[in-house]
Amino acid sequence: MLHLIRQSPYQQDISSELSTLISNDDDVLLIDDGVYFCQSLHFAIIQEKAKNILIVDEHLQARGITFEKADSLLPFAQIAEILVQSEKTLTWQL
Amino acid sequence: MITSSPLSNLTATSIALVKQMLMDDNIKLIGVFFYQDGVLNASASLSIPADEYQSVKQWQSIHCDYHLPLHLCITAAEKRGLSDDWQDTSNILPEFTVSGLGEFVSLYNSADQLIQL
Amino acid sequence: MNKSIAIINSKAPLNGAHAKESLDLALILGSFEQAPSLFFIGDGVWQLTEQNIAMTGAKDFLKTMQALSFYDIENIYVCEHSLYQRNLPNNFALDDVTVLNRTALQNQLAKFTSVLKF
Repeated sequence: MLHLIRQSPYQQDISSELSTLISNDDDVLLIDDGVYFCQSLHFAIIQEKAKNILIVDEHLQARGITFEKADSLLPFAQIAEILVQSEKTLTWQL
Repeated sequence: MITSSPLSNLTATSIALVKQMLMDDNIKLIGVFFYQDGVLNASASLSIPADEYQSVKQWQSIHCDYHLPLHLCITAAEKRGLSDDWQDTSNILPEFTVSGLGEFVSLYNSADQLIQL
Repeated sequence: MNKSIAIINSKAPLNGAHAKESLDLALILGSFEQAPSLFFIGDGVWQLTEQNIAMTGAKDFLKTMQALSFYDIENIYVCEHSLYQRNLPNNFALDDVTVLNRTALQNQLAKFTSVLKF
């Protein structure tokens, strides 16, 4: 399953909910305000559990965030394909 | 299924993703169903300043250029002030189809995949 | 592969229209023989507790929830950790609710082909 995280780590009790729902087989895609996870202590929660973490490069840049792990960064243009290729998605938004 | 409001910062991304899917030959998008605050995307009364993101125009062009069905849950819409029959007029954009949750089930049955945005 | 849908409820009962609209969708799916399984996590667990919602003027949808089995919606899962965080006991206003720890919840969720979160 691919978790599509579109909200900031500090909206709702998302950190606890993520610990509940992300399994070791899951991937995470940080998109929209989800990219704020990259500059949050809560990033560790995702890192600990998810198999792969993908981050929308343009959405990081748009919010003025730099992130050293360049191999996780993806151009926005590839996202639709990634969504469709994953067998199912769980969207985190408010 | 689109459940987020057109006034959230998510709309531009959601619309861009819908367009990506429409332009990708390997993806066949069979429809968009608007539910919860997502129904507000269909409001003909939205008046967005010209220098801000024009979600209405985007949906209109998606519908006109790709003939993508845009379904609206009328129960959720009426709760939010949208109606196709209020004093004999409609404030729902003509590009949107007035539907119910039953239509969502039918779309879901025809689709291989369901994505919430 | 047979299609199956999981609906995750994560918001308190009076938080906007989330709980009510999620329930409406579940009932419609149920009436079209696509009964979803319902997951309650975070503040969503409050949707299952004994309460007096009508006192706020809002519709008491617990009554509707009690009719879930009539729509063949029989799989209702609740997050144990969320109950613990809120100091809630394992009694609910509905019968046949299954409390699952985090790992069991993830395993259960993995069985569905689609997921919606409200």
